[in-house]
Amino acid sequence: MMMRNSVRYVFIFFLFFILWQIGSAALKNPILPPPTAVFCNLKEVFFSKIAIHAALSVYRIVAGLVISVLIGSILGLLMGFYDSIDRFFSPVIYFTYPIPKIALLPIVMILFGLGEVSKITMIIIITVFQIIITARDTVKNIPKETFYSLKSLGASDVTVFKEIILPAAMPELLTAIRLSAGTAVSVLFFTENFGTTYGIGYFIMDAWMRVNYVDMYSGILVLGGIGLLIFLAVDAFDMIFCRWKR
Amino acid sequence: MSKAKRALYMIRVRNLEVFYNSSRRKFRALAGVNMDVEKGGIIAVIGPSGCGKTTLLYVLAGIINEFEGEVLMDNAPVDPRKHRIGLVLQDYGLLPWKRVFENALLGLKVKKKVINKKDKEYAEYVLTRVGLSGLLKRYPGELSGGQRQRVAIARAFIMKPDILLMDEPFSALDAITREEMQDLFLDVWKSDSVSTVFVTHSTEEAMYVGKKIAVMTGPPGRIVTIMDNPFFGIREVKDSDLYFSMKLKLKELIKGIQK
Repeated sequence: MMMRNSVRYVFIFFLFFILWQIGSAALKNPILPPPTAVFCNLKEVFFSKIAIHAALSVYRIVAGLVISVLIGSILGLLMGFYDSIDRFFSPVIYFTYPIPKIALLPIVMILFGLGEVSKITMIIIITVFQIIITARDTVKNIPKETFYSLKSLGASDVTVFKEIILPAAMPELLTAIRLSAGTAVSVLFFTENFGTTYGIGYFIMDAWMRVNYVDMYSGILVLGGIGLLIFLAVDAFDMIFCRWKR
Repeated sequence: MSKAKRALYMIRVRNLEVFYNSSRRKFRALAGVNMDVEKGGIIAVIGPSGCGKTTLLYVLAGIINEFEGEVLMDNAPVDPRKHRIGLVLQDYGLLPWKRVFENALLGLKVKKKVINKKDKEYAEYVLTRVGLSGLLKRYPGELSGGQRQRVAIARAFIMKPDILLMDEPFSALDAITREEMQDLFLDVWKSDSVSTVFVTHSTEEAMYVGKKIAVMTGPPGRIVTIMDNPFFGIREVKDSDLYFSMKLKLKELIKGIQK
């Protein structure tokens, strides 16, 4: 049972690719090439053709997520702790959260141009809400007795934030970041279909247009790999900051 | 009251009234509580659940700060920023994301900001004294209930408090551990003699750890009587007739007005 993490990953991927190989052999259609062909292609063209797209995509996702987490957790934690801030922002958030932000892409592109800013902005305005709401609700759910020992010590609000709010909210915040990371990858794919010739989303769509399915699957695999790396990074944060949970 | 007499008391509570504002209704939790705690005294506050014992303690701890009446600590209105208040709660007292040693130093850290080597040595000394020397790197989630309360007690003593407030600290523990902890508490207390308010719902506990015993009833909470306790710190009672008649009297006082 106690398989090492890396061994477990390799084993599960191996299983996944075997299933893919079987499916590909059964279908006998270029729309599902065998993984071996995709891997050979990746080996050949990753550094020459794909790496630049992947790097730009990683930059957009990471920048979007970092800014989103900063804005979302600061606002959310403050809303959770101070009722007055919550009373002001909650109606704003309840009203704007359900609006499909993807529909705002044309407006964002007019405001921020076709470049990086509009893509990062899209990721922020779509993912920030779940972070705000998670952060706020986590703080509201901290048992009020937790604050008593610090209150009886005459602790300032800054101390309370540092010693209680932040560590107590951290596990839930990391969950919100994981969910946001998944969303961010999807949003990125969508935005990279417009006004750019760089990015893994563009690469995949371009390969599709060229009816180069092997290239397309290579791009999809790389996109999956980017997602995996982000999740592993969040897990690493979890290991460092939430050791007390285990 | 003369100045000399005033200096005798660490805590003075006069005509304390506390109201809770629940939906639409104003709930009177404490109705005119008067209580004094001498310097170096331990007063055990006993009463049925819901009588306002905890409310009284929270006022003393500065957690509840909306009240009527007067609450003086060392002749100054209670203020957790000025006074050093050691608080031991039944639960939730420790922060689950801090290791035992960090939890034990929390009081000092908030009060002093800078923790020097001497503070750390003293903290280790107290933690060893309460039997936690091997567990300093553990998280509270990895400790038993008794061990957690040891940390809470150690933390309170490490900050060298002006007053010590304990809210049913041992009631969640099994009988054997509870007696152990009562002994441990009195043992550590004797070397410091910090003025203490000890809230409990057990007559036996009150008669073991209280120099004085205050009986509370409610709601609304009021103190019915405060009596001297000749059995303070005595495990092997010699005059068992007197012990049991006092215990009976306490029980009747607690029940009597509840009817």
